Amino acid sequence: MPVSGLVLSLSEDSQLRDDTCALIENEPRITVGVCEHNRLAIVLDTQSKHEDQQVWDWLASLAGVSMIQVAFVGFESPPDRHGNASLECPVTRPTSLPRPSADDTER
Amino acid sequence: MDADRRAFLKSSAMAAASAAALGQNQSATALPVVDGGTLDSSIRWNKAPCRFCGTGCHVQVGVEQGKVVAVAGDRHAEVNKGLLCVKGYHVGAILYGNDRLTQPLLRQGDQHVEITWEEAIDVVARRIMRAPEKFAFYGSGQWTIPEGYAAQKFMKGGLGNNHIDPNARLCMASAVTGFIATYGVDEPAGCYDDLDACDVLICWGNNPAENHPVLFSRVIDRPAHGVGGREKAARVIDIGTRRTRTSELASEFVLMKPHGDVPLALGIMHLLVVENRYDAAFVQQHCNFRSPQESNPTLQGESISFDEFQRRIAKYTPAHASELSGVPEDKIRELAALFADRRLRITSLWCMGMNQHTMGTAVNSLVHGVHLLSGHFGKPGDAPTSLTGQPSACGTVREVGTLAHALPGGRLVANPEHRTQCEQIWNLPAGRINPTPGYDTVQMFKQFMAPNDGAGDVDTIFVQVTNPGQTLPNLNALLNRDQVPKDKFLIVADVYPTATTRIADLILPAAMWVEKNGIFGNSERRTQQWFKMVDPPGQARDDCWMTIAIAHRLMELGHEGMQDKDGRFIFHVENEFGDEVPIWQWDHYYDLNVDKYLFEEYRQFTTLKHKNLAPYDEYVAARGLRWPVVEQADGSWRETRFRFVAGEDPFVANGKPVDFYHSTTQDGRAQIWFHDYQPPPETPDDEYPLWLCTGRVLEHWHTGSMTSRISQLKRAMPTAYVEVHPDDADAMNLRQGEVVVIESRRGAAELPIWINGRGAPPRGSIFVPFFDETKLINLVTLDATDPFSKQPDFKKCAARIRRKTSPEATE
Amino acid sequence: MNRVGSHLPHRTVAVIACGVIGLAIVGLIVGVNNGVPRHDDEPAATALLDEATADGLSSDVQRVDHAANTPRPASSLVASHTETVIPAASYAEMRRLETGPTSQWKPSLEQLHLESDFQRCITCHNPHTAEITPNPTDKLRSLATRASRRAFNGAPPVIPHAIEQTNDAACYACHGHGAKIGERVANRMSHGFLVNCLQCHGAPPPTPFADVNTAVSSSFVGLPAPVSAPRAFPDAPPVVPHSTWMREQCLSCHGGAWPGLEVTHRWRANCQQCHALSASSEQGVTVDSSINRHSLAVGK
Repeated sequence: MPVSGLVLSLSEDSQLRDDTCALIENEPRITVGVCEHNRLAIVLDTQSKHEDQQVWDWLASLAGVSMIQVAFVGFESPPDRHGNASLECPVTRPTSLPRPSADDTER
Repeated sequence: MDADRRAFLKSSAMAAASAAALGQNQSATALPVVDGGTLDSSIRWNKAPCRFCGTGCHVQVGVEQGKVVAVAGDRHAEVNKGLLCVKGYHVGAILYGNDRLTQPLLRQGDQHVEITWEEAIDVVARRIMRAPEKFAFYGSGQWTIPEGYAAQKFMKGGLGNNHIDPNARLCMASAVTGFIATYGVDEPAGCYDDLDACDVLICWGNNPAENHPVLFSRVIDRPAHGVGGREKAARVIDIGTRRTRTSELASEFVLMKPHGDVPLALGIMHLLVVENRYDAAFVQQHCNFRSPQESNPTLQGESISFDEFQRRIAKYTPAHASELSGVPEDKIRELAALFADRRLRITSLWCMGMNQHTMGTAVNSLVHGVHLLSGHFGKPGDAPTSLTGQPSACGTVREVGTLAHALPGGRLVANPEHRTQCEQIWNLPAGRINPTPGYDTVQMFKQFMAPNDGAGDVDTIFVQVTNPGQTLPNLNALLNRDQVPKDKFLIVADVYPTATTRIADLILPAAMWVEKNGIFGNSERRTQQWFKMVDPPGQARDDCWMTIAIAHRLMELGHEGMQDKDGRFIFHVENEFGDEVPIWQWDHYYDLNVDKYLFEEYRQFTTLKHKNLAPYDEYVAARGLRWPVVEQADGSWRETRFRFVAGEDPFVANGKPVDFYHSTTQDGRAQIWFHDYQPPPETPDDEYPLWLCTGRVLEHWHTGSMTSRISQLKRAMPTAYVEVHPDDADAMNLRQGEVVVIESRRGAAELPIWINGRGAPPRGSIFVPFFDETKLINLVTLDATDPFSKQPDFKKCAARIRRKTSPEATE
Repeated sequence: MNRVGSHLPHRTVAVIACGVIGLAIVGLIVGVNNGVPRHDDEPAATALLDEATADGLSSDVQRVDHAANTPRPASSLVASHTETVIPAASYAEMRRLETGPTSQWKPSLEQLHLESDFQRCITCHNPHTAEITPNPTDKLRSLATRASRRAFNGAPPVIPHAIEQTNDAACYACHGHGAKIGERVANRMSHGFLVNCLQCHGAPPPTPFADVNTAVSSSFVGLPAPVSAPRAFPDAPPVVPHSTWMREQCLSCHGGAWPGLEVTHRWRANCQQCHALSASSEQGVTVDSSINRHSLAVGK
């Protein structure tokens, strides 16, 4: 159940920027905060890491968003069998890290 | 995950993202913060002004389980902006010396025995009742405003006795007379904001790096902070009789002879006038010229023309001024050129060097005159500013008027109109207040030390919140236990055993600082409130309660002065149901906020001299407010940074850029004074060849009764010492650390030698700090006073060093 | 190497690039306390930071070398790329820097030179960089030494050594950057530049009075230093258990000068990104008027 505070760097083109802002504001899982120059603060609140990934990908795909920075991440999951809550990455887990290998380079 | 937690995470996420988006990540408020409740600590923080000097830094006091455990600089305070000095950081420890006084003690023979508070209050009341006119109250610039106000009302309104004077007489009385002589009303026009704006800072014989370190840092740290848009450091010019830490950090050091500030100021004025580089427009519009009368001089003085001023100042040529002051001619010309430059903003700071001076009133007036003559007045950074050494010398002494000649709010006992106003506010029968000023400090103790059957008409002194047994000059004459005549009675309320409690006949244990409610007034007209946070130890109680309890006991014994004209107790207080609260009983003293009651009553006095104060609750919310504080149309209260200046001071007449509305000449003008140089009362000679100067050090405050009980401070400065020039030490064959005898015509003290020490006096000059109760340098000092302010000169007298011949000389 | 990207199917590029971005973000948010999640089938890297590139305070830091019980890393991971490393901002600089793209930022995935850029990223952001495990015994010893030099946690420490010169330059010579003198490390200043050092930091007694008894009899008990910090939930980054006022340079104390107090994850740059401050200790509570229990009743 991730909650993340992100800073979007928006396009310098004011028309594109306004259109992008409107799109983002209409997304119910996003709360829009202050906007300073082309930097927009948002909070992303989703039910699962998968959903979080989807919204992230969508944001990254927008033409008016040039960069996404993470300012805050809070995500909690039910404790595991040792009683420890685990940290999960909302975007991608360490297991999916690309590992350059001989196979990869050869392909 | 519950909804609250989720909402909290989201707000934290937004705070972090917003901070990052705005690039605000240096701001404390923009940072994600967690509720204090999640921290496993029961510490509670609250604000208070620091207990020590007149700077008036605010501290955050951390209290855990009824004890002060930590202190931090208050980031919300304008005075110090979160910074403190080494004393301030350790101020919490002053409460916890193991030898706190916790029980009233009465002298019986050679020892003190414990008595109850009831007995103690009765002893005091009966002693006063015997001869109310021979009772004197010796107070303090460390009194809170309500404490001083209660003492003032008790003495002048209750006993009809004006023998109430504070230790501030020894500290800043000449600053008061300087302000009154120049502006017709006391206290600085500028404030600490000038320190952020000045291009040049001139220190006239003070050492702020040690004695007002937070203010000095406010100037020298400017390049690091870019304060006030002035990232350039001010040029700091340190004028003094010895090199100090201030000299080390200053841009330049100017050595002068003792008393040299007078001819230096006259020399600068001379050059401004003869070279026609003074601010003619400012002077024509806003200034008159003044000089003391030939005989019986007063603070009013007599009017002189500008031509006459020119004629009199003509002799203070650079050559003559240089000869008298010891400052090279070209340096005097350089200083005059700085003042002649209207583009610069110049702030002057001074403290004890100009105040503890037999020409104190004169030199204070002259430095104001240099600023007025050159037009360096009334713009941010252009200010002559006098600093105080005690936390409420301004608030309690100068504003409440706890001086032998004064009444609250800038009134005078000698003025019938002022007496009537006080009698009305206090609801007293007409004629209750005595029209004759009482004894000033030096006179009070001279009378105490004189036999009752002779000239001595003070037989009982009640000392609160100060330590005259260490701070009075020429102690052998003014307060010497072995010579106190019979039938004298000394009552001392204090927190620790001191040089004064050792002489006392009755010792009353006092609460201090955050063990009680309080209000201080600092050097920049800022009134600062705090609440009681911890309980005092043992039987220690508030000084204010002592005064009220004594007053009530006197009423019970039949003293009519303790009742107003309707027959009610002069400290009558009712609760919300209209019932009188017996605040003279300790158990009921905190049933309501007595401070608030007294402050609201006192506030009525403050409008006469336009030193208006806001209601008590405004100060609860603020980190102090600078008077005049005036209510606005929207009900808010506005403080004043710069007095007498249009747009800042609400009392300036319409259309005037500058208006000295309390002018002694009733024409809205300030007075530029001429005073002729007078030599010091005692100068070195063959018998006593050295100048002796006394003063303070960074680590200790006042008489060290608080600071010497803090290990970090005691470690840094464990003892008083005598600074000697290396050549003088060589000539006298003195070794580093050797204990020697410093003696004058009045007395002697033993101190270890420090060559190339913290300060560096010139040849023929020595310096001794006065904080150490085991090495009383005031046995040596001189009790000559300024003729107007009655303030003694602790900064210069003739002394000599004698090697000890006894065996311990080699230790 | 550069040709690799162009030969890969577009989709694979996207996946890998996403992973690279993800890695960077993982670097920001993971590894706060328990170290970095690591899978047995992955190679663990030895410390890429060598002694020379660590800041000068690390003399006493104990390192745990995972290489001892894990397979040697793939050679490509430890290849020296120091000449291509983007210089990271120091802790001191972080607070003043705008966050934003580095000079190496590529606006589109196509422009990424996958392998070389990846190497560049993991030089700093590699989650497998040797983690530091503070030693609890060291920690208690450090806390005790620190406590002996200050009146309470948060008080300016006294100066523990003799000083001859009292000007600020003398202090900054060592404490400006945290110089190492013999076995002793001069603590780097925890706050910004202030001129009058001795205004707050009490010196030892002046030499001529070194033998004077400085003992005082006091019952003052100062606020102790926190031994641990509360967490919002298990494994959450601990909150900062003390005020950061005049202590905004976290690395001054947590950078290795004090054994046992050092940060476990020295590759992280922005401490307060994860470690929250306390409103009460940061003076967020401005006036506690709850103790104003005394109402005014002015009698007339």
